[in-house]
Parts: sequence; C-alpha cells; structure tokens
Amino acid sequence: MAKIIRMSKEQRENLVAYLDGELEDPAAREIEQVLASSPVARHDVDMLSRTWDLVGELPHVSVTQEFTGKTLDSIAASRTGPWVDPDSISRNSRRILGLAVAGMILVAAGTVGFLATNRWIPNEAEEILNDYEILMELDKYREVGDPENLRKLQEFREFNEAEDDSP
Amino acid sequence: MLRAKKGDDGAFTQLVTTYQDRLVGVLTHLVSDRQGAEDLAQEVFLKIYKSRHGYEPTAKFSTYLFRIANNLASNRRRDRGRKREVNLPGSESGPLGAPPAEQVLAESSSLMPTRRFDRTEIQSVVQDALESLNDNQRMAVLLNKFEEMSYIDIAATLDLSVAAVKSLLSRARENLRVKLEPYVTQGHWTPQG
Repeated sequence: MAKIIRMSKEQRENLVAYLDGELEDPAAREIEQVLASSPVARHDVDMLSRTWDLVGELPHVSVTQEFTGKTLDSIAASRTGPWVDPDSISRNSRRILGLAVAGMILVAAGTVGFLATNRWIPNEAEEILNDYEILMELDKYREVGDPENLRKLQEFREFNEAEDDSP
Repeated sequence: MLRAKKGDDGAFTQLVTTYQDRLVGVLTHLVSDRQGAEDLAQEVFLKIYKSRHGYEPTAKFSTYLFRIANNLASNRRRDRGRKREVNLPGSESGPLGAPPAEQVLAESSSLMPTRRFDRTEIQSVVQDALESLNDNQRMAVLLNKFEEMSYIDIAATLDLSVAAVKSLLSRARENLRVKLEPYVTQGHWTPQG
C-alpha cells in the first residue's frame, strides 16, 4: 500500500507555480517527488488543471468598430482640451527665443549707435557748454577787438599797480 | 508606443486596434460588465495617450497597459463602493441580493445530477467563481490565463513582489478549484474544443 504523503503548506503553494512552469529547481524537483509518491497530490494537480481549463471557457471578447471609433474620437477630442501638445510648446519656445534674441540685438545696436554718435558726431549743445565762459564774456571780447589791446591794457594795469606801490 | 511618444498618431491608432480586444476582454471579466469594461478601456487608452510623452520603455507595453487598467479599475471599484454604501437599502433581491449563478446551477444540478450544462451556463458559473476572488486575485488570474503573463510581469502590473504573486495565484487557483471542482468531477462539463 502506497504511503500517503501530506504536502506542506509551502509545497501546496508551489504546486500552482509548478503547473505554470514558474518553479525552479530544487523546489520543482521536490514537487515532482511528491507527485510521484502521492495520489492525493496528483488528484489536486488534476483538479487544479481541469478547473483552470474551465476558466478558459469564459467568452472571448471582440470589440466593435463603434468602440474603436469612439475611443479614437475621445483621443482626438482631448487634443482641444487643456492638454497641450508638447510639439507646440517647443514651437512657441522657439518663437519666444527668436523674439528675445531679436530684442537683444536691437538693444545692442541702439547702444552701439548711441555711443558712436556721442563720440564722433559733434554735439552743438556740448560745444556751447564747453565754450560757456567765453560766450558769457563775448561782448567784452568784441569791444576789446584786437588781442594787442588786451596786452596793452595788461601793461597799463601793471603800470598803475607799480605807481600805487611806490612811496 | 515609442513612435506615438514622438507624435506619430497613426502609431497610437495601431496600438488601440492591437490591444483593444485583449484589454476589453480582461476588463469585462474583471468588472463583470461589458459596457463598464468598454468605458474603462477608453479611459485607459486616453490616459496612455495623454501621458505618452512621459512614457519610458522600462517594461513590456502590455504590462504598462494593464497596470494602468488595474489602477483605473481599482479607483472605479472604490468609487462604486462608496456609492453602494448609500444604495444598499434599495436592493430588490432580498437582503443578500440575487443568488449567484453558481448557486442556482448547483441547486438545479442537485435536482438533475446527470444534467449537462451548455457553454453559456458554465461561463456564468466560471464568472461567479471569478467574482468570489478578491480584486488582486482576479486580476492575477486573468493576466495569467488570458494574457499568459509570467509571474514577473504580473508582479510589475500589480505592483507586487514575485513571491506575493506566487502566493496570490496559489490561493486564487485553490479557491477556483473549490468552486469549480463539482462541475468537472460530476461530468457536468467537458470541454468542447
């Protein structure tokens, strides 16, 4: 009479993995030994297999064209919603970057232009400011006329000062 | 998916047509409601489309697809669970609801021990047996049976360890065995190829 071997909890758990081809050695070999010696284990495996086959009787599902159409429509509709196409983000980014670069070029050109005109093109107001002191005395200079008169006037002043200083 | 990620909408359409039957099939058996499964599948495809630019091919696409499907199905079950708490008193089938097909068939089978069931009846029995499993067990069974997913892929889909999947499937298969064994031992059903 064959000796009845009771499967351990772990072996029972391994039984399904064994049937699924997911059990590796040495656990798989252990199950094979149990199956070889235990009619109870063989019955369990048989029942597990047959009931598993029964699950395969569940109906196969095929969707209709309508389902496919609805699914693709819902996806197409999502494009106009809050979701933003990353491609358009990169297009916008490129546009903004282009505008920023153009702006920077414009500012740089303006700065260069300002500096150039400031240095090399004569500025009338600046000339007036530079000659301000002369211009304020221009009437006097006109009255004096020839610079020779100024020299004479200077000599005359020195003469008077010398006279004042004499005892 | 990588082509869809780069903006190829035609590639995404191809993904939908390739996976729609498989997805709706698994979801139909998961939620036991064809219309609900189709709504959920549309939601899954829409979610994948919207997040396609962030897709990283770290696993098989089918694993990614069913992972999202499982998450959305769980959220929906949770939402429905909250609603059901309010709707419970409105049940028209008595305090325990309608008897499952399995119970009805078992009762009729006890009256007619030699009766053989037709395919629709047995499908109903199997669906009831599936519904007796918890959510993770049911999804693991469906992925294992219909998607022929490995334990590693099921683990990635359900966000579990491989050891947890092994244990989960063992318990699920044992539960199914208990529920369905009478139908295979008494000869009520033999596969018709």
